[in-house]
Amino acid sequence: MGKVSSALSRAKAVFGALNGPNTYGNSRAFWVAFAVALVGVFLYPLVTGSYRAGQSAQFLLYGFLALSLCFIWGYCGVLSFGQVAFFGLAGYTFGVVTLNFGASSTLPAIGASVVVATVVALALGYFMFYGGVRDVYVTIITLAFTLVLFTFMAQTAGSEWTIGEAALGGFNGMPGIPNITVGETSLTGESFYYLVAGLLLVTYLGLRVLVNSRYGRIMVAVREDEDRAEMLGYNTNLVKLVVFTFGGTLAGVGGALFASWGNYVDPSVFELSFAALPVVWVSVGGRESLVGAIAATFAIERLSQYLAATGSEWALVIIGALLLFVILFMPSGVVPKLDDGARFALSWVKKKRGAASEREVSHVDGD
Amino acid sequence: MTATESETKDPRAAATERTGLRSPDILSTDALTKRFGGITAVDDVNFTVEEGELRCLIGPNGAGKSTLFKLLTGHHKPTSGRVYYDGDDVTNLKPHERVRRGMSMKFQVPSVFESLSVRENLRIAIQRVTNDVDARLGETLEEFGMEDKIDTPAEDLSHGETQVLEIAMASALDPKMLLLDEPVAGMSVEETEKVAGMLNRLNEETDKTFVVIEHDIDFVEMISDRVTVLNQGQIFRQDSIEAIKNDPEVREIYLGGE
Repeated sequence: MGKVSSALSRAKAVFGALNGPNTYGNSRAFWVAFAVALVGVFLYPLVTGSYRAGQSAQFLLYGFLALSLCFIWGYCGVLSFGQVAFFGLAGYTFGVVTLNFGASSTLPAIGASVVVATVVALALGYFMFYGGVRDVYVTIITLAFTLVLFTFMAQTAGSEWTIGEAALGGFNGMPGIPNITVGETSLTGESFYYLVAGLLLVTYLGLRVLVNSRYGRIMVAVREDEDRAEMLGYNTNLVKLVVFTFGGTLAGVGGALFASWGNYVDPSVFELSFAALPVVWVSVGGRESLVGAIAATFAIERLSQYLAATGSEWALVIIGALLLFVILFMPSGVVPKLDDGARFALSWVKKKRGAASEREVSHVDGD
Repeated sequence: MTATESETKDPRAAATERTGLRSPDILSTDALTKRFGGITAVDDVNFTVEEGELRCLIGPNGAGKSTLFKLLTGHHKPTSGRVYYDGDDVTNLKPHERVRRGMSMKFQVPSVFESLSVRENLRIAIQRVTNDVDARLGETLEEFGMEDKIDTPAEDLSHGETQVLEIAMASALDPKMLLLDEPVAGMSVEETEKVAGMLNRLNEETDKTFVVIEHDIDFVEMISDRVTVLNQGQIFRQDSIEAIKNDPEVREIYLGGE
């Protein structure tokens, strides 16, 4: 009995750590819907087949890019246009390592890619935040950093730009990057899909715990009012540096998965049009919503792929109109708007029920 | 007494070492000067506050009060001179480092985390100094009479309540000293009296030191017995509130400065 109850209370504590004022979706209804969505994600390859599932894994791995921006922008107020820089650098690192050491090196290569992305983010972040760069200037510097990488990578066609066996390849990029291989199994199609989905789930839940923790509260304080946070004794430069660096780590995970997904990486990962995408995804989903960032990424990318595949010339116009609509009518994003709507509906139902009977209405919202 | 630039040790700390007696001063400045271009906003100020004191710093507009305040908090670097706090030279410490040594501060313009609830505002402050956040949260809410506002977003508070919340946040850090810049600016008479009572109680019940910059003489009379008058960047008088109020020269500069 005691064992059961202690296990139960521990489970409760873990579950409690996932919820808090810094995340949307803390009610029981949210977690039920979340579980249903998880089942859907699990069943998806069984419905569409392995190949399509493998293709869709791209949208999930973009989720890491979206989460990295949501984490630093939505929770710490640092708008970076350069998350794709860390994503791309990790992709290139993954290519260089695996082309030199073969398919058996893919797991260490993921580690190396993430380390490179993290260290570069740390260095860039250090010079920005300890150099007194703030607000929109962070955005400009990160964008410039990305575009410089684009220019640099685009001119690496010559044979002097070869690292061991791996040629950077200029505009043509690096082809022939192997799939992630675990033991003897090369992950492709649905197995790759399940790998990405599993990693994304763990990352999402981990970030939820983090943003609802004490450190998350400090991040939010820095986002809301940096000077105020400083006057409470917090070293805001350090907080921003830590958060920005971890954002680089998350983008790096996505980048390594991306290179192995397409077996290819080229300088287009540093292009302006790609650099803008994470900002679009996160703005639409809701800056302050981790689940919104993932869902919006999946929805927007799936839709734009569908429109492009059906040969619609209106693809870009439709996507553009959608974005405009969201930004005009839901400036904080879709998920916060949905949350508002749900709260409103709940309070309306409560009021109705309260008027209908004298009985005490049970507490519906788990928040 | 003028210190040379190379002299970094507090003379009082040195005296403490020699005599074994602790100086009663928690805060002192030594020939503190701040120039902005050709204007000397704070001019050779030697200012000391004893531990446990509630000291008001008054002066007409442009006297250098706010500049002196920012020199004490670390938001301005002095052109020359030193700031000593709790026996250490803190001249080169950043604001957050001074806060971590027990110097809480509140600026004239109320600044709280507007989109967050009163609870979250206080938690952000409290969690830096204690692990038992909930207990301290309850105490602070009770102490400042904000229990019924706990879930209210800070942006929905009245101006007076916002000021109180900010004082509560500064006080929840359990500081040795609170630096407050015009804590009752823009408050109604009742709110002003409430804050005066709050500061007096905090000062009496704890050994916290207060340095309050104030423009409103009536408020100063409610809270402080020892007052420093600043004029044109220099200390003009330092005396009891009665003496200051009846000093014709102080009246003169106040009227002249308006």
